Amino acid sequence: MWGLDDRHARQSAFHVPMSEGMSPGRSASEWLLRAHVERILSMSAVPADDRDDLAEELYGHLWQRWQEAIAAGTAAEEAASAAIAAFGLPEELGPQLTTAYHSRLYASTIGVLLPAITPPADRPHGLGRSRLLLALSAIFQTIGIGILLWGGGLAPVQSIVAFVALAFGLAVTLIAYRALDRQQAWALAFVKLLALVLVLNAIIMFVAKPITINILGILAIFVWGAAQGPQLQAWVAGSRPVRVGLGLVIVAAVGLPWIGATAAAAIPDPTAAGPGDLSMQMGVDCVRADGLVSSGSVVVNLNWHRTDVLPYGLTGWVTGMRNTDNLGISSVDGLEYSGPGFGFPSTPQEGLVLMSRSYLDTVSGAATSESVTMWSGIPSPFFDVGGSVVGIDPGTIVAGRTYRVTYTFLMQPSVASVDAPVFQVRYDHQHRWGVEAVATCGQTVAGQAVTTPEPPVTQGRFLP
Amino acid sequence: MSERTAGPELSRGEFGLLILGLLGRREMYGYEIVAELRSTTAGVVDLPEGTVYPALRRLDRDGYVEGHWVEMAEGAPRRRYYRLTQNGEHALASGREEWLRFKTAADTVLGS
Repeated sequence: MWGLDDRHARQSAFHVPMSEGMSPGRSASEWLLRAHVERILSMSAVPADDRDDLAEELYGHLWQRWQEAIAAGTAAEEAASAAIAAFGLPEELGPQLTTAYHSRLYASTIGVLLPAITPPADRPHGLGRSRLLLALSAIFQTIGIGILLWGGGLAPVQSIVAFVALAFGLAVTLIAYRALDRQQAWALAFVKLLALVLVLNAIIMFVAKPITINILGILAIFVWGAAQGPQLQAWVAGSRPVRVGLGLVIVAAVGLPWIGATAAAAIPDPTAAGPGDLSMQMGVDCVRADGLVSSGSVVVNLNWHRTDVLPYGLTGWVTGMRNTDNLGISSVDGLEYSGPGFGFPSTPQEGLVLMSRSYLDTVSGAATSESVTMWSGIPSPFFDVGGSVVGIDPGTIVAGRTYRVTYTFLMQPSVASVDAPVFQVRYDHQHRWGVEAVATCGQTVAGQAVTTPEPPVTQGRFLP
Repeated sequence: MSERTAGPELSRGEFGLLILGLLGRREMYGYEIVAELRSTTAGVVDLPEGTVYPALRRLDRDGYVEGHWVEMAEGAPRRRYYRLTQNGEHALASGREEWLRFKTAADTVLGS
């Protein structure tokens, strides 16, 4: 049976904020009629430029029905209730209006979350800071997406997963920013959960490092307090309550941006090579004079079993940025070259001197001056590869070929007491993973995978 | 409040066609359309009154009708009258033809 009883009609009116044309000076019955119209519109996503016309049209209908009932002898309030009951439920008419203006997809998703109502002037305490928190959160999430896209560090499939998580969180945050202004209960629930997570995060950060000042966390504390208050609760009381489905979406929208990037990094990416796909062999040959090492060479052979489908990752594919892989060398026992520049010093240098390096495709014979590689690598944010970095263009690597890097070094008399220098060679692949090997005179060793970022090494290295 | 008749539900397209049919006779406003539908069909079509407005907005969006405001006497709200556009007239003609074909087929099956 259709119909709204008086209780429902009064409740509708009670929850609709006072706006222009709804002052208590008008008759109670007219106010009920206008409140019903407001309630219908609050449950629809009517474009702002047509909202007033539609409101007037709907009110005109109710008004005429009301007038005719009064003329037929019905009491004014009873006539208003009858007009409202005959008109239909806001919960049904609102969505029907939304689909009349928008696509079915919009109506069933965004339109439900973002009905177009005109917010009244009397805004509740805490609304502004709640929206500020959402705005700041959206800005930080946008920065996060920028870092993801421009900073790289994830394989393509991992990047897509992380991007979707961040973009989903950002989209819901932006919709919540608008929806809170439109008195939507789900948006307040989103703010509460977001504030709670940010407060907890701030506490954890403060405990870990007491000097940390977390602006979002501090703001979240104030927002959390206001969100529990009666004013904001009353502000959204007229909208649909948050049910299980929407609640899960809210939890996902708050949680996914936090865990998305971290979880994505753990996903195996079939499009990208892993550390197991790169074989590294490092050998050190030393020349001795009077029993002491006077010079020698470090030879590193790199052989790829499989290369990345997108050599520069999704970031390079999207942005055109082409990060090189980086290979660097350092002396583990702290013998530091401190001379002016790399190469063949014109004057004798103190310490362990790296005299030359070369990078060679052993199949094609292409050397460093050709397109196989570039000389200038960039420091790796993944781990410290050492000095004298060779930047290797991953787009030129052919699976199955061996690429050889050869370093020659010289031991100056001041360090001649060192029996044998120990070298470390590290290869960084697109800042995602690395392979490293450590060897001394007469040794040939295989590289080991490094998948966890490490803090920079501060001991001896060769400067480029 | 009148009891609404239980029976086959009107689809969105059928409801729109009925509105086009009424507007094919003369310009009408929302309340008038509802009243006319109820009286013309002897109460067979008796939907919640508000449902006429989403239907009118959809017809307006699709270019089948156009509305214009008419001022009323002091104290009474304005009324928005709707009329058929040329597209609406074509839609009504083809819709009517389609409906008659369906009705004939249904009559044959149901033996009337």
